[in-house]
Amino acid sequence: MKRLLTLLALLLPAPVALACAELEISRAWVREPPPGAPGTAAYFLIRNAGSQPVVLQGWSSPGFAHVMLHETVMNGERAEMRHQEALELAPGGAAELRPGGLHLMLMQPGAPLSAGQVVTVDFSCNGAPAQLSAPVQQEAPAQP
Amino acid sequence: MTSAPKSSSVTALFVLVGFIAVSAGLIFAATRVPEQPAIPGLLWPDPPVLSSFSLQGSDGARIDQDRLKGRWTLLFFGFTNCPDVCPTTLAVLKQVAAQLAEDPLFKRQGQVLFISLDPERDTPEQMGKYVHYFNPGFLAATGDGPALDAVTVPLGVIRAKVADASGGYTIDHTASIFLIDPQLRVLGKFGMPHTATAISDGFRAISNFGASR
Repeated sequence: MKRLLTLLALLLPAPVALACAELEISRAWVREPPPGAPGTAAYFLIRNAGSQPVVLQGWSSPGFAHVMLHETVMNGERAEMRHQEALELAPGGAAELRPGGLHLMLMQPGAPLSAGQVVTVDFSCNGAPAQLSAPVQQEAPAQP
Repeated sequence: MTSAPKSSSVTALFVLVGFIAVSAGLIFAATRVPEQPAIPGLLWPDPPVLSSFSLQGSDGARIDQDRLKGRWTLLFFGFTNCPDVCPTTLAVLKQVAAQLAEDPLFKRQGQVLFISLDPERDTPEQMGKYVHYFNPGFLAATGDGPALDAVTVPLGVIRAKVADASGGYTIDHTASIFLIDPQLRVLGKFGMPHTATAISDGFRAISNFGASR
């Protein structure tokens, strides 16, 4: 019976949800898009404080037609956009989404977006639904 | 009486030696390779020079070489569908314009120009609204392929249309900021990552250097 319970515990999605409950997101913000810009980007620090690796993917937002994880990579002087399927964080691992680097590209807003609003982004964390929210700002939040 | 010719030949020798020394000095000075002064971002010697070009400006007027002559221009290339690098850089240029607001040269002759590499999607009106969000004094312009080439080729600016995962496209492009002097010489180039202080300091140092040459 004990063995069966252990087996069930392994099969149930609880550990997955637990792993994703230990995602720490801080310094989140969305750049206020200039008028005429058909998109903008979300930036944040994300840390996996759990003891299992996590895979984050399947980004979407109710306010935008497309949300994609992109990385701006410099190839000499040339800035290139690289699409990333997923963000993988080892236990204790962290990623910084920042201007000129990794970012969530938010394209084609359904309505004009201005500073003070809050954008929510849905994604999957090890297959379980997860969400983050980020305030719209003109500038990056001040460094702590 | 025999000492007089001897004395004059000694004098002549001194004159000759002196002449050779001065000539050697002049030749050395003239042939010496000019040193690159230690100014970050300075393109010297042999800066690229812009020749004639003609783009459509967001204010309805042409943006051509005559709009740059007599001015110090900070120039950046991008497009409005660019969600990361372009607004980030324009936000830096907004800070630069604020930092240089009291710089006598920038106040009198400075300007910031954004050139869109995406004439398919960016209209002059749209670009005008886009740049004026950062600073009402910023200029924006675009043009068709050959019109853009007239500016991008001398500067070595690359633009490459790349399909993206949503079925649209993005444009990989040179993200450096260029500083063009009143004689259309490209005297400065600042690479990523851009910081306002580095560009403001670069503007001051390079304009100071270039104004005397």
